Amino acid sequence: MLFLQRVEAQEIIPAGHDALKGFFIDGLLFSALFIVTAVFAGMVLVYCMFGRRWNRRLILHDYSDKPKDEIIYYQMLSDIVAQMRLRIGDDAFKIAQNIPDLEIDTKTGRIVRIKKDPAKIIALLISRYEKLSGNRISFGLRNP
Amino acid sequence: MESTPKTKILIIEDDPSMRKILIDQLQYEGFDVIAAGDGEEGLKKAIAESPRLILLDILMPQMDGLTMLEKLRQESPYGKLVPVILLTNLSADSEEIIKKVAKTEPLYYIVKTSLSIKEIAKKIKERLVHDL
Repeated sequence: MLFLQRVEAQEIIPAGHDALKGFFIDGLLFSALFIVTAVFAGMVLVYCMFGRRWNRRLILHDYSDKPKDEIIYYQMLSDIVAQMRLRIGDDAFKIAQNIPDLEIDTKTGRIVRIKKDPAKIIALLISRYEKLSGNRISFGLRNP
Repeated sequence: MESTPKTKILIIEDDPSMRKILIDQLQYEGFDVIAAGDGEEGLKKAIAESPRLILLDILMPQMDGLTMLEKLRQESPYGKLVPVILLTNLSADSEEIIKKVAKTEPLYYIVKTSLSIKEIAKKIKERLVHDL
């Protein structure tokens, strides 16, 4: 009787051990799957939040249709607006739209028209942005 | 065996500590760096040494950066085309600065506080690779 009980116990312990081992392996697999899914979801979320903004920053507009002596001002304005947009998002358009004599396409960020005095307009845009954001702005003059 | 000559960069900066930081970082990045402490010395070095790129401060004694760049652009075919990066503490919020920048066409107008030295070095590398 005592012998039989020992045998049953020996059969039960390994079986229980395997179940426990299986449980841990399943747990590890599910954890790994969860982490991979969470990381992927996080990447998708970050892309949705900032990716579009990064892509928009990279759009280079062509101003070859503008008067030759004004192209440089269009390129400067375009890059300044892109830099502003990178830092404060679409609020950059609100600042640009309130600059007199400046027309901007708010869907693409393209400078549509500088009606007069481009240097004055650029200086005013930079001044307003820097006052509102508290940050200084850097910009490029030629398309990279 | 001959090694490839390093790309020469000229730094024109009157602040000795800033100049040293820039020299150290750009030497670390593998460039041959020469330096000047004001616009007048910088103009002479630029003409004599023909660096591939110039990093230029605006507010300097003797001759300011924008005046130096105007002279360099008029000086020679090299001076007209050499890529220049303006590196300054001065905001570009004045009409006069914008007009001078548009006239002299630097690659970038960089406000020192808006970019780190490493980011500036990255922009230089990007530009030089683009020119090859």
